[in-house]
Amino acid sequence: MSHELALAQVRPWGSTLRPVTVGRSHVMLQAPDGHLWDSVRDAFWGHHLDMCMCEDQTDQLELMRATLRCVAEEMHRIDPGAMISNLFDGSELFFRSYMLNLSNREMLEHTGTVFKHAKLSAFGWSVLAMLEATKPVIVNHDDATQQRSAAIQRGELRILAN
Amino acid sequence: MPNRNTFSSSNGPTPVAGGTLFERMRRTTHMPVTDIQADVPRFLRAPASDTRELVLVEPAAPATSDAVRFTRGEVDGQPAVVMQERAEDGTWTDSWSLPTDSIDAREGMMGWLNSQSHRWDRFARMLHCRGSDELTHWIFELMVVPNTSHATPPRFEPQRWSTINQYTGPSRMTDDCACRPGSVHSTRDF
Repeated sequence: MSHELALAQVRPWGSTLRPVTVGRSHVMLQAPDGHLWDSVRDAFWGHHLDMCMCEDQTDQLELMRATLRCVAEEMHRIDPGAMISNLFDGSELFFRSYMLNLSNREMLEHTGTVFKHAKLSAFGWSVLAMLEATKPVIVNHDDATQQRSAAIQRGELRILAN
Repeated sequence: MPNRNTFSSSNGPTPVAGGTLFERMRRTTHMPVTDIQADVPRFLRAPASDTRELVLVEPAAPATSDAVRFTRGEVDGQPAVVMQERAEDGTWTDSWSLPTDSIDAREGMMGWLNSQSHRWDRFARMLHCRGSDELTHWIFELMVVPNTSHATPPRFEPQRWSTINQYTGPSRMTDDCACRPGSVHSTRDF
């Protein structure tokens, strides 16, 4: 896969987070503001995106990873309908809103263009590298969040396999 | 008003090799991984301890595809580039072609297509998903402009290259026009 070649060249987001040992053996990651996080995904969600940690955000980060990967593979140009139906519940509005959100977070570059010309920014590549490296293996299929994450992973496979 | 001088790099007063608009466009479109910071002043970067620091390394080898390839061909006696796809039995069949104006144009197109080998599979996919017209559109989009801010018609701006003082001072002649009495166009014989 070509995007994997590109990922290999990018330093993933969070690679400069400082590991801190708490107690005897519990290792946490320290963000630049001093806060400690359990995982790099948590640090990205809670520190960088400044999102609420009240719920399990696995499915949200999986949606972000799948979307970034599809954009890296230029599926938003080749077959945006497949992305909309497999990742965004068939809602074009949701898709457009999500793309806007990603570009607002500086993960996409599409200055002055329509979405079909969007591409990953350098920051988007590094976030994708981190999310791919920490992609969860879904084992608990009773949990609703895990079910949604598994559905997103299946949808992503369907988009890329077509 | 940004400095729109074609021959200077981002903001510097000195012309830099590789700093023309065309070359910067090519870099921006085709080498996003290696050269993204070409137009970003490094002094404005965040310190190294920041989590957003990036290290990007030049890819060692381009991705290749053994299922798709581009070759030279002819369509109705015109030179053309042809996309071929490999069938199950290993034979190559033509699946898309684009006539070009001349052999030179075809060579230029082949050179560009060969630099896009990481996209060959996607080109085939686009062909099967959306048809040959859409593939042609996409290839032209990729070849020409990265975004619509670059998609401006070429403007005749003789003062840009004919004035010896073109690199000094603010550019006051940006909106110059031959119909105005004080403009360079009306005072000079071109």
